[in-house]
Amino acid sequence: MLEFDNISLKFGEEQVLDRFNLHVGRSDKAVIRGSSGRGKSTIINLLLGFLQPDAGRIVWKGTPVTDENIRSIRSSVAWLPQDFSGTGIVREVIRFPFHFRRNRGLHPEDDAMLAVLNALGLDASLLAKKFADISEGQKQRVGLAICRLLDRELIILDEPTSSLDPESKRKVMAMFLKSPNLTVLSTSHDPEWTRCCSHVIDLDN
Amino acid sequence: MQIVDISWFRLSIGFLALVIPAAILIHYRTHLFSNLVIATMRMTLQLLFVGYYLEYLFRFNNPWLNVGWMLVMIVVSDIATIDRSGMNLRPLFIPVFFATLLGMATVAFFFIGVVIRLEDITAAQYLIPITGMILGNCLRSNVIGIHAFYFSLSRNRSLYHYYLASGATRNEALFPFYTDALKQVANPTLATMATVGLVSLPGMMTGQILSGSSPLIAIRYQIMIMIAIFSGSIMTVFFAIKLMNPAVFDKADRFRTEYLKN
Repeated sequence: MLEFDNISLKFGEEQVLDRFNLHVGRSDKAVIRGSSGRGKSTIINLLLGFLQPDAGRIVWKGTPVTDENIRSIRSSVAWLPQDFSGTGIVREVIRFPFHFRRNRGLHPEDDAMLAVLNALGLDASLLAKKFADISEGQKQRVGLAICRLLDRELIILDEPTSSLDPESKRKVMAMFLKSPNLTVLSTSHDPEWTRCCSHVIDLDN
Repeated sequence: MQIVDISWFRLSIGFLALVIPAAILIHYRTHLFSNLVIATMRMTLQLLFVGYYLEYLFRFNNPWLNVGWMLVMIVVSDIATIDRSGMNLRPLFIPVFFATLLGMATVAFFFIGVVIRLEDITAAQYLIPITGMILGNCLRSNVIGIHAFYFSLSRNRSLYHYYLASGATRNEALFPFYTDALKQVANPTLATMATVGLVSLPGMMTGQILSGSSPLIAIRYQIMIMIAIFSGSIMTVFFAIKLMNPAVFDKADRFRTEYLKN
């Protein structure tokens, strides 16, 4: 489904990635781990076309990714960035991506939205709160709920459990790592998350 | 009643009104004294030049000269807009020029041709002051709007990326940035519109009254010019951002930060 083929990238003099390879198949649960600054988020930014590699190619469903077709990849993924943010109340933050033309058919009913939020340990009262006022763990789970509701071919999660307590973490893992049909590419420092993934890419080795 | 002329000597006495504010700025170490001197000198020289130029412009009243002067004002305004909004000038000059021309000229010719119903829509007596007033405000709005849009985008690039990666087109992902920029442009003008006549008497109206016009004619012109300023400002900022975007974003919708000055 997704391949990184000998990808190299330098920031100034610093070689961030050197002939990096990655293969993610359908229904895989892949995790990229490594110490800070090893390029975990950079790999995601390359995949989404926000950075361009110096060498190598990224292949999505058999087609090399170019500036011309990057939009089709962006429309096939759901992404939780590390610094997920939004403005307004939580309901507006969740609804905003569903106003995009690409997502209009996916606009979730309140019941579906609540079901996903409940599965992640969040309740309906959260929807009316200002996004800026809720905790980091709640923000992270709101972002995860959007990823689930977008119902994409590939879910990309950047440090999805970094702000979560053990109970919330278990719920997130049940939703994303225990669903056989989901394809997940994640980055994580969390040993528990890493253990539950089917593929581990270790940037330190 | 005829307007009382101000002699050059009496005008020079008027500069004394700057002494106390200058002393306050110096005392509080604002480092703005040299800026004040330069700005005052520039203002005086520019207005002297314009005064003499307009004397001839009004005397000839040639449509080509009048429109040419309007275009010169737009060029100068564009250079100032791009420079003060913190963007790099050269590649963005053409889009900002056409945005200003489109936004400002549409409104100016609408009011001169349709509202005032002037036979000669390029008449210097109307075209130059009306376009000048609109343009001056468009310049301020452009600086605020363009700066707000691109620097907010630069600070919140991860949010823009998040929307793109959630299936948004570039315009959809930029929607919240348009909202913020347009709010910042519209709010000061709306505040002025809401208080005009109560807390301030605007320059155009004051000028007309001083030169002997009836206050009732002066307010009609003032209402017209306030509407023209608001419409011109919003349209110019909107067109400027729309026309700049093809240069500022690459074909994969990546924001090219090299267009921002450090």
